[in-house]
Amino acid sequence: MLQVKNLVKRFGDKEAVRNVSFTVERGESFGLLGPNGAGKSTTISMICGLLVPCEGEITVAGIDARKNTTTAKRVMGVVPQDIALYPTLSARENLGFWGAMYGLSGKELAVRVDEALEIVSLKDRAKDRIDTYSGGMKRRINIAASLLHHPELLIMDEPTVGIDPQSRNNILETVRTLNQERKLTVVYTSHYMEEVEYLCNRVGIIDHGRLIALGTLDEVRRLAGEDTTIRLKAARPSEQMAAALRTVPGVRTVRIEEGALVVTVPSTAETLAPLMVAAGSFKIQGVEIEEPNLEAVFLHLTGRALRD
Amino acid sequence: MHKALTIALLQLKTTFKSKGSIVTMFAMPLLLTLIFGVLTQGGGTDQTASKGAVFPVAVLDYDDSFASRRLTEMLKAEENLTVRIAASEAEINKLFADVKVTAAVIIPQDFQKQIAAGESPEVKLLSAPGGNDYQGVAPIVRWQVPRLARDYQLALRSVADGSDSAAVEAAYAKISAERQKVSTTVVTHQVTRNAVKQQTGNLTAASHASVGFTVTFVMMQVFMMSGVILIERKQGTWGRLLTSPSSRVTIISGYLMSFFLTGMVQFAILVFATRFFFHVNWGPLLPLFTMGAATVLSASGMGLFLAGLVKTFEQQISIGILFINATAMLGGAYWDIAMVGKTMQRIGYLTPQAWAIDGFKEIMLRGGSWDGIVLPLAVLLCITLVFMTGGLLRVRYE
Amino acid sequence: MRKVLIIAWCALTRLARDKKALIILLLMPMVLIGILGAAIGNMMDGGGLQAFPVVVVNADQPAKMALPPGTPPEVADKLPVTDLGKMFINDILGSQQVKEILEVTTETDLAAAKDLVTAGKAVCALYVPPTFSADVLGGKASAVEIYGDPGDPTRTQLVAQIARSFTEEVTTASLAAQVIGPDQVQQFLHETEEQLPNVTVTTAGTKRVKAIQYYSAAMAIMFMVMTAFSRAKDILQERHDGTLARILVSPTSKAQMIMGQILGNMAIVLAQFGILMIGTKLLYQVSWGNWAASITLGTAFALAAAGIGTAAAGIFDDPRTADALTGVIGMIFAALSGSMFPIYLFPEGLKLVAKFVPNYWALQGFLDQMSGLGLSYLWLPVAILGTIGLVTGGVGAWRLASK
Repeated sequence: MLQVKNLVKRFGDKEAVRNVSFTVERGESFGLLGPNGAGKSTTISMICGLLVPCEGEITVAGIDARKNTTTAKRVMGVVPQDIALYPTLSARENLGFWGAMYGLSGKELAVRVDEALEIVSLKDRAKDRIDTYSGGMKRRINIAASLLHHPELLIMDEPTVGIDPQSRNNILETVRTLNQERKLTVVYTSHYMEEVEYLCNRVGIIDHGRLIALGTLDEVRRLAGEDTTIRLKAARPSEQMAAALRTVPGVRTVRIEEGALVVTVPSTAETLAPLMVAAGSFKIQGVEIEEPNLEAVFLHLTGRALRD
Repeated sequence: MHKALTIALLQLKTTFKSKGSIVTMFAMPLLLTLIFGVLTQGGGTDQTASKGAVFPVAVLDYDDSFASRRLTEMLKAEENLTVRIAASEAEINKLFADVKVTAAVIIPQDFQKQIAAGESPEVKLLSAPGGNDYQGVAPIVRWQVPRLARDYQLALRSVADGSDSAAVEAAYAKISAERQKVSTTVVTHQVTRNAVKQQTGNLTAASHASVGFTVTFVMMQVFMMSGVILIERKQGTWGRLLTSPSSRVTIISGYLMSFFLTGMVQFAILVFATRFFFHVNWGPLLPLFTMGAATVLSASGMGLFLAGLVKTFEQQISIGILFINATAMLGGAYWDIAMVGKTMQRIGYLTPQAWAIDGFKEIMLRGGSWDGIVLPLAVLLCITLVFMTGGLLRVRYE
Repeated sequence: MRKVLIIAWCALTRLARDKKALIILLLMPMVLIGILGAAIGNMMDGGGLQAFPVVVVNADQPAKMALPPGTPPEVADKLPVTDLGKMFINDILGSQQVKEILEVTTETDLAAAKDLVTAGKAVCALYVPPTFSADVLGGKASAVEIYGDPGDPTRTQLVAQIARSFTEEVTTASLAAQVIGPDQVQQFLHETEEQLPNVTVTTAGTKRVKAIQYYSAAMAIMFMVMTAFSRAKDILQERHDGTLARILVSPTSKAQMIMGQILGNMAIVLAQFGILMIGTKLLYQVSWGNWAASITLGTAFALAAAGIGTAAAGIFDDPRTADALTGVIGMIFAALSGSMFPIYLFPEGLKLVAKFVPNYWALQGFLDQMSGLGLSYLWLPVAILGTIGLVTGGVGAWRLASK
């Protein structure tokens, strides 16, 4: 569906995107994860035709996006990072305009607008001006505007920045539905690991313009190591307790944190029970099991946190 | 007090840091004063101003007689006219099109003959399309033409019947010379109030423009700044101020102080800038700055009042621009209020600008004694009190 | 093409909902035109000046003609007394016409009269010196003096004109006495009164343009330029908000987008012009001349304004800069083009500058039409404005495309 090969973008003598390549198959949900300034938006801008790459190829649904930009744009829907809507126009008017920009008109446009409003659950507020909407609602219309022309590929650039948790969940659900039920191919960029983990089956991690990890969610997660982290919450964790836990077979490391004993094990199944036995007398208040996650991967690969 | 000052200084800093503010506060009034007060007056010296505007006119002489040529010369000698000779009506139209003249005097054929025969020749004064300045030219032509006609007729009567044209012309020359000797004229002087060294001559165009634009732009700035509470409310900083342990009085005093200080600083800079660039003498400093303060206060009172009525800062700005410009026009900031009709003058004196300008003129031209400016000061302070009270009441009840 | 129209229509709709813009771009010109027309109109169309106070000091001593010595007293007694000062006050200042303009009070002391002026109680003091009549009878030069308030040059000048009509008469009589003899003077004056040449005032066009027409055109033009800059601000704001980018992400070409913006600009300025033209016609009875001609000229100017707005959008980056410049450029263009101040009073250099300002051509064009001059006067301003529009629009489009 989308093929990106050796993309390079330079601004002056600064290289914003260095030799980025990845593929997204039809029906996949691909996440592009990275801290602010990593080059996510620049890459996206090149894919949707806003920026011209210095080098590299982009193929969308078999179309050479660099040569036939207009044709490629017809099959792509883009949800930009900005809320690119006209505040003094109503939701319906906005959607009408953007639909027209994609070549829709007349009855077909009206039908599509209703459909899009339905998908983002904002049909009852369609007549209200965008400047009366909450942040979350604006973002939902932002998404609606990208669906009108029934794109085959949906590109979303940080679509949940700065909104309340409820709207955020709503959006994530909507995207999931679009991907799984309507088989829409999705490219989703974010610096929120939880979103990518929830939505995407394949992931690319980008840092300083370079893809430092690429693969399925599981594959990438395991880059941080196979180990699971078991967190035993205790009021007063001590070195004595830690030493006791280290004797449990299968325990790789134990360290002490504020209010917890943090244990890494290769396999939860084999080690959890003996661990609990060993900790029997410690007055454990709670147990948390953390599978390897992307945050950890990023930390492992770059030594820095994903969120600054 | 200290807190109020802190608020005030913060506002000041924000205002003076903004490039847009610098343009509207200083660049605009100075530029407009330059254009209207200096450039378009060809220098705007006292001499130019006191003789009034100079109108360029064309003269088309169809008669080309002694009398018509003398008339042309009289027009040329007139200090409020500059004369170009045109050879045809087509040329006059071209001069109109090129905006080189504002009117044309057309002397008909048989001009001299008709005067001699005791008939009334018709001299046409053609005004440029769209032009209104024949109003300035007409009176001049209206007394030059009869004067010439009478002198010529006198010349005719003073020579014997049947004399040739040379004799008439000689007689005319004698009469013209005689006219110089017996001429009764009108001489105009200026009256100054006291011995204090002050601006001589009339209110020059530069001075009038300086006063008008300074008053307008200072009032505009202060008026709009008074709406700052609207921004602060939207930003949330107003709410934050209210939760701090400062009393409302302190906070509001701080804001009022900021409006006042900004206005006074702007006023001072403009006074000194116009003095430096355009040689405008504003008069003695104490009455000048008292007048300035009253003007600033009246603007901030009105601005505060409006801020209590509108919802957003955008509205304050757009209504403010309209209001201040309209009242400036009505109040005589852009042209002499004495020139407009009765009703318009009465309406004009409803605006603070009219009183402020009266006050400044008093200071500029007549030394600004206290009994001279007490009336404008009183009016401005009244306006301030009324509107500011209204505005503050609204702010209080939030 | 359809997309271009939709983009333009969207711009128009959004502006129609922007209350701040509507106040400044529609309400303000209507109000200012009204004020200008009422204020200046009165003044320029020769309408009612309010009567103002002047004080006159007549120190003139009535005189008789100088007689050769030895003339018997009976003859001397029978000679008429000339009291020119009194004649001035009664016949001139006391005439119906002058009474409508001047409220005349008399004073005996010049110093007291001057005090009245400095106190602001009189606009000026007129002084007829003691030897006035004697000088005139004796064939010597004399003068009526006016002491005026320096802050009121206009009205002082008006009084001077009134006094001058008097001194003209006196001079002529005196001159006639010298030339044809004092006994002929009355007859001469009487005869020539009827025979004086007429000065008729006409206008080059068929109609005189009233002040309010002038200012309607000038203000409409000025505010149309301001609209152009307001549009530049809007376009830059769109760029800032991301809606421009969104248009480009759709299968809409840059050319279509830019054309849409330019067309939107034109439509907005044209709409404003239409509203102002109709508004002034309805509210102030302003005649704009031939409809078709006005609309053509208005369209040409709208094109020029649209071009300038687009150029501004192409040149600047920050919407706030464009916003701030709206008022500034608007007023400067208006001032330089003679919209506020008669252009023939400009020094030559400024006159040349004026020709580069589109306002100038539009204003001249409208005034020509209002004067009833024919359509042949239309083509030059239309051509120039059209060219300005195309050139600036082109520059703006090129710059927008490269951003």
